[in-house]
Amino acid sequence: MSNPDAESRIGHLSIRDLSKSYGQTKALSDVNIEVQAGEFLALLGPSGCGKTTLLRSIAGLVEIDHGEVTIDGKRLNETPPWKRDISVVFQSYALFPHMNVRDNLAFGLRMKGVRKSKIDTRINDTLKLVRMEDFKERYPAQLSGGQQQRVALARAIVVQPRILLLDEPLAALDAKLRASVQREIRQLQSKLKITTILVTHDQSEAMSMADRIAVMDNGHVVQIADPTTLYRHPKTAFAAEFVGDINRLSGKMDYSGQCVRLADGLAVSIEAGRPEGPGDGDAALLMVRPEAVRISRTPVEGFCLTGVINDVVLIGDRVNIYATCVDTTVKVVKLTGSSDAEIFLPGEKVFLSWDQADSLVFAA
Amino acid sequence: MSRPRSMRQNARGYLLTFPAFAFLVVFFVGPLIVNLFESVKNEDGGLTYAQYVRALGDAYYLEVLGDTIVLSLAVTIASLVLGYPLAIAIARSRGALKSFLIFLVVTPLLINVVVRTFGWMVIFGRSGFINAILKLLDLDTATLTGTWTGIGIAMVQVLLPFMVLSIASTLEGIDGELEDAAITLGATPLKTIIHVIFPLSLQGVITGTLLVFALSMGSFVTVMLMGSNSTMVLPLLVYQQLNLASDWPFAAALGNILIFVVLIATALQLGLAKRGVRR
Repeated sequence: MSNPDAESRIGHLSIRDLSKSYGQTKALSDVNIEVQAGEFLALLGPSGCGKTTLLRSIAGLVEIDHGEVTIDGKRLNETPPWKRDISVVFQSYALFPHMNVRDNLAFGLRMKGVRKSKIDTRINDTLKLVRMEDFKERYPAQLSGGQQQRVALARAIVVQPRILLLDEPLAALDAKLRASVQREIRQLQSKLKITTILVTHDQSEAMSMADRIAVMDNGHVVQIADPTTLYRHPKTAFAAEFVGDINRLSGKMDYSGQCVRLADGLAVSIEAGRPEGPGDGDAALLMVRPEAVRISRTPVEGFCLTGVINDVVLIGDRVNIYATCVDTTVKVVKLTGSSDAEIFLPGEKVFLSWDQADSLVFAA
Repeated sequence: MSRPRSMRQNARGYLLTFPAFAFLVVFFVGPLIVNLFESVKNEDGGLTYAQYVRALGDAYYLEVLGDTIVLSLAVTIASLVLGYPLAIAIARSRGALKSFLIFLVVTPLLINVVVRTFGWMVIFGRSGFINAILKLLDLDTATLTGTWTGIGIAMVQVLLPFMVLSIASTLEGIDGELEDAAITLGATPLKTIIHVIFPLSLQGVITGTLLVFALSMGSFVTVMLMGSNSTMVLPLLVYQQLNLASDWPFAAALGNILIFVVLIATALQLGLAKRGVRR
């Protein structure tokens, strides 16, 4: 959009020591997040982890108990939501049912006192961006879910907000549509360079859309990292399990042998120097991603787990192989037709191994 | 596939409405038909519209009809203005506070009309509560008994619950995220109510105004007890024609005129509803 104001609205958001309680329950405790101007951050966590409360606190729809929210260095705590310049796309879309698409978009512009002569141009430009320019006269009830979603997005960006908040905006769409809308939103966001925060419980959505992901659990931010780092080096067992699939084996920490001893006594050696790991002799969780596990019919050199295949599931491009080892089921993922994806049969005895670097160790 | 079953269920559903339906036919539609015949019946058994000519050709009756409509409109508007904020409060409150507010609103309905009206007479009377305060403040005293204003206030009190509960129930059906959306788009809470909440609650506003208007048009006990010679309404006139003048054909005609006015008002408002409420 060719508005000179757009460049000056940079939108660097910082959240400091933010806390919020509902009665006895702490919804958010000491949340600290910095979002760079133009960045796309995802707040990822299970329902009830506080991510929606955090989003609503940023918008000013929830009064916070403690801490502060600033945009470009300016404290927002005392600014009412209608003066914050923060747009929200709601899970229900919240389109005004008594207004057509044009009036839904015009609403924010009128409320913010944009001149009448400019309103039409801005509505047209924005509707073109979301490919809804032919639906101006339609009422929300006359649009499909995907179309309503795009109108909701258009209504949020037509006012050129400093921050765009997306509250599970794709939850109501079917899986196929969701993937294409994810890409569309991502493209639009990088084109407009609006600082964006997405709330989602869907880790693949967060991974595919966001520059960085803040994993939340029980009102705390567990880890903030880019998707690759988060996937490869999760800081806690919660983050490791929430992002992507992972196998968990329980054992005991053994620092003298620099390994984790599994229940059957097998030692899995790990990389040296893990400051946040469990203490010597403590119960430990050893985790490994399914795609990092190698599987073979003959034992390999170094450590290897013996197991028995209990299920082989072909899902299109990948094969999921489940093998029972020690006291748990290990999932192994291989590409269909790749050299080591031989077809294993249930009941077969197999050997599982992985690189030392692929072992993630956490306190149990 | 499921159609035959659902049709059978529908049939059973309709069957269950039969007792209520029969009751209404016998005790509501029946008397209305009798009323209609009564009003056009000639002394020798023929048909005549003389009663209607008499009612609509006389300045006094027309004035009473006009006063009745004006009073009902005023009561309706006052109930809407006073009731809307109260409906918002009820729709937003939760738990014990909500129950308390609803109880407060319906209390007037729990009190017998005569007792309630005498209460107002005590408050409004020459040496009543209001005048006592006015006297204490050294202001001129005023008597509201026997005036349209006094009658209006007393009627608003008892009709307010119908307005409030109709509006509150539609307000509760409005998705809270719509309000959040309006506010984050830059609308102040007042503008949110004007541009989003009010238009979406029109259905309840229309139901409420219809109820209050129709009930005011038919109410006469308050006027009979609190009114004076200068405050006459159509239903009270009907009552007098029946009980004092024993002029049944004329009372029937006046009653039908009253019903007709209410039907016109209902049709107007429903027409408005169709245009205003688009979903």
